[in-house]
Amino acid sequence: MLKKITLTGLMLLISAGLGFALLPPLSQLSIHGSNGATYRLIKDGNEFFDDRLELNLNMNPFTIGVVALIYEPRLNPFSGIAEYRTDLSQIFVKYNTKPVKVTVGSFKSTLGKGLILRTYEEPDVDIDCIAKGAYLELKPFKELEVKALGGRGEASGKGNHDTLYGGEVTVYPLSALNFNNLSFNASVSSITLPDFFTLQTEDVRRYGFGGNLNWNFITASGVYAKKTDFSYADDPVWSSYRFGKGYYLSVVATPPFSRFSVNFEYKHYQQLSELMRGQYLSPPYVSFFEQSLNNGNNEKGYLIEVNSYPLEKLHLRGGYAHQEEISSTLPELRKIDEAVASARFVELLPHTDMELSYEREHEVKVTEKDRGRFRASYLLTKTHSVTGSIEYEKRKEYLSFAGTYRDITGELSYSWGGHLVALVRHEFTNQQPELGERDKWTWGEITYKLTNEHELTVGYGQLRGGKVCASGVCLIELPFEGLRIKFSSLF
Amino acid sequence: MKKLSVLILLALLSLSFLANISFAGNAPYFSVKDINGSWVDSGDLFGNYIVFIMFWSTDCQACKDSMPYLQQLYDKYYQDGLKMLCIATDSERTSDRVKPYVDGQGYNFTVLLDTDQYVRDSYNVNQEPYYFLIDWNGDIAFSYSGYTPGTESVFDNAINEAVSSSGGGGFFGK
Repeated sequence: MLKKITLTGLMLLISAGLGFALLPPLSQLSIHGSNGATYRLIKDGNEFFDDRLELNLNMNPFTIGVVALIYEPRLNPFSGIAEYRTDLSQIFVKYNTKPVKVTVGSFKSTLGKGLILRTYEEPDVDIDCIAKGAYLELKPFKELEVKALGGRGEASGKGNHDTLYGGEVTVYPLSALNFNNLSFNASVSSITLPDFFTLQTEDVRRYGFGGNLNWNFITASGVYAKKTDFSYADDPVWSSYRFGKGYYLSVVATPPFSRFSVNFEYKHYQQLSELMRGQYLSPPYVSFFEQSLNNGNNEKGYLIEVNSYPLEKLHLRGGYAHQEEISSTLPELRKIDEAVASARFVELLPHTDMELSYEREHEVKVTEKDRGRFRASYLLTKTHSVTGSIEYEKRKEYLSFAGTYRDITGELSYSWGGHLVALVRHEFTNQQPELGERDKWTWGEITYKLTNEHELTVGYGQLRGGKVCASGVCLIELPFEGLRIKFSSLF
Repeated sequence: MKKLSVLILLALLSLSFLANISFAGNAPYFSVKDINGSWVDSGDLFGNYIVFIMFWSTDCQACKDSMPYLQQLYDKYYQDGLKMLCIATDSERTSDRVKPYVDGQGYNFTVLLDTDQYVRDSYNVNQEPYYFLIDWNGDIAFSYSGYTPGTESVFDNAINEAVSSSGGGGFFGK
């Protein structure tokens, strides 16, 4: 415990920025960064600590940056396993000017709207698909944009060095006529995934083309992608080919003099992702709740959504999404229907903000959920407010633990002057708990801003856990019971 | 490797004792597209306007809760030289929902698309929403994380102070 406190304190002292006057050569140097530390003490007495420090050294147009992770240990919220780690997870040098952007080291990138390639991280679900190499963005003329990248990744696991190459060209053919709202693009990627344990290698090539149009009140974009996937091994000798393709279309209309916008999205993805492992693919969701995600394999569906503000103080939103059932090829996917509707009243009554919402998720023969929520805030003074919400969910489960259940969640928070927020949450379910599990969870939390940039949050009680989704990956977060302290800084 | 990593980290951190460290340094430069496909260059804004920035995403409820109040602040101060930039950090998975949400909910401030989180990383934003105020000199004068009802008055005070400071401009900048 003392070691953890000392470690956190050291990180904070250094990061708090005890500056001195510069020597002239360093007068243009500036340092920015952020730090997020979390301490957990769980009911059985075990302690956990993790910290993420980001530092950028800026001397325009150059930036040198690092991301350091310290797990001493970290409680993995999905597996429940204690993880130890102390290293620099990212190091990079960036050069950023108007026509040229270059990154050497760790970089994130997207080609073909994520249907061709994507390198990224999602810390919320423990995804690290960041590549290490070089990434270039070039805008030599107003008619042309170019992206190129090359590097290595470890998305499939430490020790497996994935090799990535890719590029994208975007042209604006009517730019000479001062019409920059039409563009076409072509992109390509090559990924090699060797597995040193099974001695198999997978070569994935994806290529595609797309376009964007912004005209009057219509915005449309689309991408078409094809994939060739060649897997092989030397011992025993074998090889196989897989082919995939997919396309995505989006249309947005905001009629002039109207007070609404409607958007339509359509997807059809067939075996676009890598076979063995790796996740260098991240196509658009076309889903409200990420239920219908199969990472680019056997997804076919559409989404329609309307946003409107019929009155200045009334904001509405409604939508429907449908995913078709695909059982003819693996992996199978069931039919899914989703619906959302919400109405927000901003200062309809003086000093109040209220929102009423409804959501429906139906995965045929698996689960059916109907959820209603009401939230209301009241400004006691200009800077003090109280907010309450209540959510009711009716669930029908068709597989394991078949039955109909009801879940209720209530939350109350008080905010004072932008410096302090106190919150209490209580959840209840009428589903009979398994041995050792709960049917009620109560959580209390206080967040205090020491300054605008430094924030301390102390929470205690029980958290139910549940599905956490990000970038097409959904994991089940385990329940938590105990004390949690978070310290977040920006400097 | 572990020792080398820690040494590099300490070396970089120790530069803080030789530099004027302050979160209030020069605002990092960026150039990204807005939701209408036009390029927005911070070099054209920083130093000429007061710029209020919010980092947000379409799945961040608190971010969306603050938007009507950001619109009110923009309506109140735009003639005094305030530019409101809401930088959406949605990836390409959901970036097509940004424009219909913003247009359909009636917001007319500038919304930028940061689909690879390049700008978010350069500002070291570690949670959303996160707010920054860039003053007339192009320096970060104010930063704030999170939103609860009533926080808009904190933003109002910060913007009012920046507008009232010397070297002010107007709707067309300095």
